[in-house]
Amino acid sequence: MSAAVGLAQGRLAYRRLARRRVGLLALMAALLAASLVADLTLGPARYGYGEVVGALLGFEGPPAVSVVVWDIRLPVALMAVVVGASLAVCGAQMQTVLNNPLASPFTLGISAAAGFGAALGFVLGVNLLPSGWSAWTIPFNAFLCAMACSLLIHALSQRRGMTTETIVLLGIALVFTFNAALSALEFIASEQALAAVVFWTMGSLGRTTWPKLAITALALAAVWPLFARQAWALTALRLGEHKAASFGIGVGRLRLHTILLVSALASICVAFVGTIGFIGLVGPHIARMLVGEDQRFFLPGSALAGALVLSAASVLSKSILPGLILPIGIVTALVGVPFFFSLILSTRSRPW
Amino acid sequence: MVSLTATGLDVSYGNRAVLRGVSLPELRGGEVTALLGPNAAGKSTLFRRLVGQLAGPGTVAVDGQALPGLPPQDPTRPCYLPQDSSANAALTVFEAVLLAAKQGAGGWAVTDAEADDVTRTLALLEIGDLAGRFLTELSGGQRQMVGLAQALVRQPRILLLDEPTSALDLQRQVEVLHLLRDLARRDGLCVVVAIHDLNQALRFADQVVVLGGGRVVAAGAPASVLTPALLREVYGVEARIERCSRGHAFLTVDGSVRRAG
Repeated sequence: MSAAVGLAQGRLAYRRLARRRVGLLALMAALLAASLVADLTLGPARYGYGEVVGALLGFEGPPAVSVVVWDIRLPVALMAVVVGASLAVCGAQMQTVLNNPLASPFTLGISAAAGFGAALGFVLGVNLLPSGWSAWTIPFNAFLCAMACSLLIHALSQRRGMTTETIVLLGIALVFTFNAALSALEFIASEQALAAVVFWTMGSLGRTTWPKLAITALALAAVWPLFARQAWALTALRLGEHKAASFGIGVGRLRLHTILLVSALASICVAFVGTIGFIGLVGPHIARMLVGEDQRFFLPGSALAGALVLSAASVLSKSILPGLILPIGIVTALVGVPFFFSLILSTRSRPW
Repeated sequence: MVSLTATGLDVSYGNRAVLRGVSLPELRGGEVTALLGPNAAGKSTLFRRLVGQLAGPGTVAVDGQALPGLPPQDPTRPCYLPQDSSANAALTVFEAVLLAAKQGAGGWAVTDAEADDVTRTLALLEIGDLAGRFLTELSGGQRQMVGLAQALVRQPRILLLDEPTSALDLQRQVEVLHLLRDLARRDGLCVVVAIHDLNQALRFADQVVVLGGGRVVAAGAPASVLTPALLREVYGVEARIERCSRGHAFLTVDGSVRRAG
């Protein structure tokens, strides 16, 4: 009798924990929706919440509002959500497979490589695309360099005796290499090209168009089910390589597949929006504190946290200086870091 | 009864040979085997070779069937508990054990039966009170108990445990070893435990296998294998095996001797 009671209690306690996590995810989704609408109201012309929601739902209203919301603001606001979610998912999976809380798309040099690729286009006029595609030159260069960096890491990490620590070290070495190469390009650049490079590397959502948004969203939608299917195996990686292998998981293969998928997704993001730091690091940490590391909650949690932070940063970037939109990369770091500090310092008892 | 056999196992890391032609006596269900040997004798490497994490010459067979032929999640595959339990994942104890139960089995969602398996395993190890605690809040010994739960919840028929009691207090050590022997006797599990405490090996093991320098130095019943001569050769200690007033064999160490080579 008492055994049956114990089983029921165990079940109940676990179901309660799972329900609380779903509740937290729902709360984050609601906050994200609010932030998205707030983002749409802001700009050179300020609209009321009613006007924006009306335009979104297709109600009658001033046609100018509808045009501005749909054609100008919505792609940018949604890009903040999609890029924030993607970068945080990338960071979450890198931290998982490299078993290192410092890993993010930056740690492996992916963003630095993208910056270098963009500078190749701005400074040396490198253009691999046919004429008529000039709008895509810079993102394409950035994407190619970021992928090349990822593939280099992928190739090196398949050598014998490579540990997760050496992979992270290699990534850091690549960050310095690409940054030095970028500085060299900046040194020889014309004033105009230099300004373009510097602005690009600050990160900006302002260049977003519907097609760019669609590509990024499709990339996220494509990798998501692959990660979700491996949820239990990926979670087990956080118990350490040996423990995961003892569960019958092919650790090496899973790690390489994950790094490749994450690299492709991160490369697409940084190619379109430039260097937006910090989201890939902080998104997963917020998710970990709120919903733990069971990937069934951790993955959506990271995506929502990253999307929320970047969307909120977009709102702030328009409201700090009236009439001026600050580069979002600056805002995420300046506003995000104190917030992150306070989170870490308030949860010292769980030092993961 | 399940049986595990291993013959002619060689494993090397680069140029360094760690196992040289290791053949084990048949390890049978219902028995507890203690795997003994000094540090770096090759105990963990042998475990990893037995479960197929390391490759090399030689054959490992379960019930006469060579291991590579068995799918990774086959329940007759040996279940290996590595020594390292230092993970700092943001998971509760319940989740960490559930995670072990979910590998390769069941779907995305957690069924009531799976949750019950976890609760039962935690109760078996008397750590039900830890279920809601985070792994990061646990002591070394508690982590080791969670590791044991992660192995047992998978309901293996062959259990390979790498120093499962090294961080446990005396009472827990005795309880865990008793439990392992009960599981062997009652459920027919084949249990292999790497252990440093030779007195526990004398007390709880049905047979011992002594590794030294990557080779099997001796194997057989504990009292017949663990002799002063062997302890001097393998461990470099002067030791006596005596009988206590109740007739149990126990080992006392008088001092260390310079090891040959």
